[in-house]
Amino acid sequence: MSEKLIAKFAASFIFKIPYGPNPVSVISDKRWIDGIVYLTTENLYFSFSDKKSRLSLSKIIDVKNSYVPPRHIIIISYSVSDRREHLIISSTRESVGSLKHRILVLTGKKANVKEAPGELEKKLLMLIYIGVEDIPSIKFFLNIEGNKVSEVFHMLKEKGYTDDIGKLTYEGTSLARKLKELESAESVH
Amino acid sequence: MYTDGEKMEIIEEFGFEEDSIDFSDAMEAFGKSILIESKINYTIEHTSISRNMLWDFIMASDTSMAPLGNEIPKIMDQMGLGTHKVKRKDSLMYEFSTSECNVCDLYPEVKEGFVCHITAEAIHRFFREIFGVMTEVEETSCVKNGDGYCKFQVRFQPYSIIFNLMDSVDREILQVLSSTFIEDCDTLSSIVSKADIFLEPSDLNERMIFYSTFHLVEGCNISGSGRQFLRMLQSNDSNQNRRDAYEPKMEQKQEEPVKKDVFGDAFEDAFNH
Repeated sequence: MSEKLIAKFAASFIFKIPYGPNPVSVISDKRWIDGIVYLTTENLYFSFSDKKSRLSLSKIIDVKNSYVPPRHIIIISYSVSDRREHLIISSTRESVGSLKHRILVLTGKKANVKEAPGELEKKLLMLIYIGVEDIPSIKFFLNIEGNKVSEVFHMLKEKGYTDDIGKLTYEGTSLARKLKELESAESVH
Repeated sequence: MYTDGEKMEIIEEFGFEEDSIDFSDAMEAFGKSILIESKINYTIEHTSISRNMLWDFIMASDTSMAPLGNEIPKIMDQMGLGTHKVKRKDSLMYEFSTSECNVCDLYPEVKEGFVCHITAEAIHRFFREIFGVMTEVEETSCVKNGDGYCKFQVRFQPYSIIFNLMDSVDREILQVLSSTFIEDCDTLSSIVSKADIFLEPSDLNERMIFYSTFHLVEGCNISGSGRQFLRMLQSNDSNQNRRDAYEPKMEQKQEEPVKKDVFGDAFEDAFNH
């Protein structure tokens, strides 16, 4: 099948961010490059400053959207040789949303929308804080499978919020208190 | 010195022709998807529904008997996603389905597959942004894949349902249950009213069904999970009352909602610093 152009729009982008849990942290105004994004049946193309660049859709691992005021963005995670990197595209909310969904379709991903891992980490942190520590209860309240519980526990430990046996550290307790205060404030409004 | 752009694979020519006839059709489809995204954003930002409607929806064995069950098809239509039917499959599990899927038409370049990411995300956002509850939404069949219907399985996360739907009266009832062992469930109503909690028997019964659905009680006594959640409710200063907040009709918000995810911001900040 010949390569067909599907979408084209003005956007800003930041290329080649090292793969990590929080690509948004590297965003700064200086890094944005203005140009045109082209989506085809096989590639994402970028045109900027008389240059052309390409990312094959087959290299894309994941696409997520986010809002980093004042920009609506999508974060594309992709593999290059033996490493992974991120690419960020910013445009109107609707354009980046449509682009994200179209990339997901073209890369053969099935529609399955779940909470971001960060949300699960927050909820698990809160559950541990209020004393829910048994795995069956955690699985039920968070509606996740056992291996996912281990994964989220691991993430909390990696971030220093729990210790080796799953107890909250000082940092974990402080964050849980902060989150609880915010939850209380939100439920009042 | 190099720019970030020079770190990408630089190419001489594009691998496509920009002036092809197919491109105008493709851009038309892309334009339609932008329009639907816009309708979804507008509908979610301008719709306000009371939390009590979600309570009735969760408690109803037949969603057509709950006001929200009747509002959802209209809201899906307003979003440009087609008229969906909503059916309860199990406790906390629902199915949205449509045979007239507008989203499938947005992908003329795709011959077959599951393509309704827009719809799945819209359903997820509807429950999250209107009610603050978490769901997992999975497309299980798709017209584009040769099926008769596009179907979406929606599973609610119990934690967020409990946190959002329990009120100060629930807290008082669980408090009573935590300090009393009830041998005969028929005495529940009188035990509760002795604690100055006055409810219609049907209201108390409905609340007990809710606690049971979420494993907060075993029979008419509080469970281990119930005690743990009571601790959380007691530490929450909110005195919200779901019943007082009852608003039977969907309404338009008076002011542009301020979208600020302070909960998420705090977590993001904490993780970043």
